[in-house]
Formats: sequence, C-alpha cells, structure tokens
Amino acid sequence: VKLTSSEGTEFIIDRKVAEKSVLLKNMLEDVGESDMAIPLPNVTGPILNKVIDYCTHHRDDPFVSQEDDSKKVSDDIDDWDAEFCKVDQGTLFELILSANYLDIKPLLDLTCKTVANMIKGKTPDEIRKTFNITNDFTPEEEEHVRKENEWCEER
Amino acid sequence: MEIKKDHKDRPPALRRSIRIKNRDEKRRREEVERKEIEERGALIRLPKRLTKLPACKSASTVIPKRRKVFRYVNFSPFSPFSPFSHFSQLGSTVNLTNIPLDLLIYTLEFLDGPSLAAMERVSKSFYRIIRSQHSPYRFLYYKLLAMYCPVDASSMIENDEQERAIHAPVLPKIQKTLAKKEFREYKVSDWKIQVNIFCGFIFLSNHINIT
Repeated sequence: VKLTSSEGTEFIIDRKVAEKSVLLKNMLEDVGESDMAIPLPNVTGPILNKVIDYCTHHRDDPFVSQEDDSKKVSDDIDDWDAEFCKVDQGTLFELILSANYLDIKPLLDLTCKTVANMIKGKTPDEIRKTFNITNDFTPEEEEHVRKENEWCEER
Repeated sequence: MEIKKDHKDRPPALRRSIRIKNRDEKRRREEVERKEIEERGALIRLPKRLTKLPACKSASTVIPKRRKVFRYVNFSPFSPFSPFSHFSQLGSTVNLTNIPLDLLIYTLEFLDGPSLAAMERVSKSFYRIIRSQHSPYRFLYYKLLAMYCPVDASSMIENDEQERAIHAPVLPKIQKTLAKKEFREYKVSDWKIQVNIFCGFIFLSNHINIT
C-alpha cells in the first residue's frame, strides 16, 4: 500500500499494517486492489513514519472496537509503548491528531494516556509550566476555585 | 570611459532627472510583471500562498521536484540516519491548549479526580470546559464527584440522609435538588387530592340535584 504524506513523501507499507487504521482499511475496501497512493494531507512525513512504526509493532494485535473501553485507566502502558511515546510535546500532540484522523484507537488511547500521565499528580502551577499555559485567573477567582476543590485535595 | 566622463559632465539637475526617469521605468516594468503574474494566477486558480513569492519567479522557471519515496524500514525518525533527522528541529505548534476540544475531553477522561480538579485550576478555559453549567462536557465534573463521593451516591439510593458525610460542598446541593425533583415527580398525593376534589365535586352536584 502506498501512502503519501502532506509534503508528498511516499511510503510503501504492508496492507496488514495499513489496516490498523480504520480510515485506511475502509479506503482499501472501497477502492480494492490499486497502485494509486493514498494521500494523507493531514499527516506529515515524520509523524506518518512514527504511526507506521507503531502499526508495524502492533500489527498482530487483536482489533479493538470503539465500544471496548470499559474503564479508562492510564497506567497500563507497556514498555515498548512507553518508549515510543518518549517524544517532545509537539510530536505527541501531532500523534494524537494523526491517530484521530487515521482512526487508530489503540494509538489514540496510548497518546492520550501519556498526556494524562503528564498531568497526573501535578499541581495546577506545575501543569501550567509543563504545557506552557498562561494563568488567566484573577487571584480572587483562583482562590474561589481552590476553595471549591478543597475537599478533593484533602483526600 | 567616455560615457563615464559624459555622465560626470552632465549637470546635477539632469543627472537627477535621469535617475528619476530610470526609477519610474523600473517601477512600471515591475508593475506590469506583477499584473501578469496575477492574471496568470487568476487563470489557473492557484491556491493563495501565505508566504510571499519572489516577484521575478515565474511559473515556467520552477523546476518540478522529484518525489521522495521511502520504503518503510524500522528506524527511529529521530536517529541521525533517518531521512527525518531534521524533524527534531522543527517546532510543532500543536499543544494542549489548541488541540480540538473532543480530543482534549478524550484526554481528560483518563484523569482521576484530583488531577481533574487540578486541571480546573489551570486556566479559565479548562475550568469552563470541565465545570461550566452549560458545558456539554459537564459529565467530567460529575465523574469527578462520583469518584470522590461514592458514599453520597449510595446513601441517596438508600435515602439515608442522616449518615451522609458532607465533604463535597456542591454535591449534596445537587443531589438534594435532584432528590426533591424526583420525589415530586413520583408523589402520589397530588393526583389523590385531584381525584378527591373531582369526586367531591360530583357528589356535591348530585346532592344538589337530588335536594
């Protein structure tokens, strides 16, 4: 299967790997056997390369349906996946967008869990520093919200 | 040399007028060239570029780039041997504050109670997303409450208000109003009164007719 990234770079991958993406799977089913490259205008070359990397590693994993998530936990990431997600924040968010666009649920879950783990256990100030977010609360508003959530912090 | 001499010999006023004339001519040429490019662009309906094209660069002079084809090999895009080794230097503009809302919510759903509470305090936009009364994502706040007040939830079912621990300032209010609303909906006394009034009215009217 040929894929073309947003810059026009072509990638040739196995059909089984491509079919990890629901978007590509549906496209391939609709089009049938064809030599035409599938354009992916929303995915850049380096990100597509990472996505292919993920799909190749998980090519034999069972298919996860959309309704399968019974409980959302973020501490069930295996070693390879954890290593895969050791990228800068920009790349991580690009991966989230690409996983969403290509409809690869396990990758979307993995990247979202990684972001959730970056938030967990941090104070609001630490979160702001981590994600470069500006605090737009006035001191009074901040105090008000803090008091509202006091019961939660005590636990 | 002669020309140079001639040029030098000219009076300064003349030199100035020649310079102005040349400048005007050059501007006129540039203007014509620009219009030509614009007309050509309008004809072939090229998508608008955000970056400025150099004025002298015409479409005919652009050499088509050869497409790069990569057969997938298992390498890290950040390794120095990778064709994407330059990527680590590219600054991505995507971050937590500008990812689509549905994806942000999907990410927030992986958080536990205290982390959600901390996220509320990060900025006004996060507070509104999680907490706002009219937010379609208020379910996150309910998730937070449910996670931290399971006692309240169970006591509400058992209707045991006496032993309910008051540690969440908002939840008891919500649940009390909800409970009252639900109680009101299933109250039987309302229709009993109505039936009584109706029966009484029929009885009275019959009694008056008889007498």
